[in-house]
Amino acid sequence: MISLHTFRATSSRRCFAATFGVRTYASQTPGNPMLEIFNRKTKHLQKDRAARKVEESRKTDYLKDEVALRLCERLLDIKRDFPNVLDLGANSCNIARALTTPNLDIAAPEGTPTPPLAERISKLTCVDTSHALLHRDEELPFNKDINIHRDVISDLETLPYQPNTFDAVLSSLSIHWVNDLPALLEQVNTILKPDSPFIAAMFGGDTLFELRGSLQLADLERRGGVSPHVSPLVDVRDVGNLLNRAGFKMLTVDVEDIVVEFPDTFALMQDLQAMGESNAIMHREAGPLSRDVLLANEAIYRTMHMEDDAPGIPATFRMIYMIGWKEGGNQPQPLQRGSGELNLKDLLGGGDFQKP
Amino acid sequence: MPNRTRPVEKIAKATAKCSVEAAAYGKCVLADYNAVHKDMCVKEFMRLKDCVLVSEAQRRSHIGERGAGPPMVIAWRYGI
Repeated sequence: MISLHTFRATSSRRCFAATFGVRTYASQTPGNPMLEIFNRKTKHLQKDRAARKVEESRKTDYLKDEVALRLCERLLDIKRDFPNVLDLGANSCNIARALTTPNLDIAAPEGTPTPPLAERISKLTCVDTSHALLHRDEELPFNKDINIHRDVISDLETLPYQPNTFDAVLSSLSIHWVNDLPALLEQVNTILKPDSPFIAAMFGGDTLFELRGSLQLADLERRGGVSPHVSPLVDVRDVGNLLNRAGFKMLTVDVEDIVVEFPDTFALMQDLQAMGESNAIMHREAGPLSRDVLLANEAIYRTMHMEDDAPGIPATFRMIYMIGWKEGGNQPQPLQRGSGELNLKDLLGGGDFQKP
Repeated sequence: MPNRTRPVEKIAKATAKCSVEAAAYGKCVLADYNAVHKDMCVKEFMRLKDCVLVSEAQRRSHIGERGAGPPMVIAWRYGI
């Protein structure tokens, strides 16, 4: 799996090689050299086009709606009001829909209705790059239950907000298309008020590993080479480091797999397209996949991953959920290493493994 | 055109009828997936492709859809 760090490493190595011939003082390259992995313009067009086919786009919102719900469940644990919240990369405001859903709390005793989370939020700012996608569901009833403000910005990587503005920043299934994730996280940390949470979900590591593998084999066998069809994604192990580097405290990172069953690979790829999640790698091949590779891919995918007697093929989506808090206030601090005085074994009970 | 079938849906339907050929091709590739090279399973692939083309053509004649049908099929068959 290619993680974001590999790309950064290669870019800095290239800078070094360029200056090798001329012996001068060691100096830093101005700005922050960054290899662009994803083509922002392509991504924008894909999202816009997908959203203009309203019916198809709504039908394929199942994944984004589900993840938005699971993300908002994490908000239930924070007993606070949030006057000003940002939804970073809102897609079609799936988070707003989840926030207005009543009885989200599955831990609440049965029969007790819990109010939707929207009652604790005075203003939700939804921001995305695609106007068509952001305003797709403007007329739906959930808009009346929450004070939504929609902001279309040209680039998700530079946020036009003042420092210390938001009481929480949420983000669901968007930041996996960001080129410079460390810089974005730093910006998020800046625009948050002290002691406020950033809660995000993104596609990670092994998402669509089945498709990635079978397309590679199909490409190899049919055309004798491989071209990237599935984006590189951030690995779970890197997320903690990334958040740490951006200055977040009290990190929580967890992973969840959602396996969706599709009738065939063609349906899977069509759905990805309708979600606006098709390939947007910078140096990808122009034009659609050839029919030969599509056909070979379908056969290989089925043989490799289909269970016997299963009606369809599985596609795995690996979600990484992350929570980080901006430093500030009377935030609880971790104790010094080695300062513990209680043995966890005494506290939690249990003991050694029983010998057989 | 609201009810236009997309080309990819046509292939999907045609491919579904060729599961035996698809399985043969898949097995051939996966038998040695660490050393896949170009045209390693060309025989199996051509069998699969012929089957898909035939079932696609059958569907077309069954529906009675005329027009750009046969020439396109030939173009694909020979990779033009």
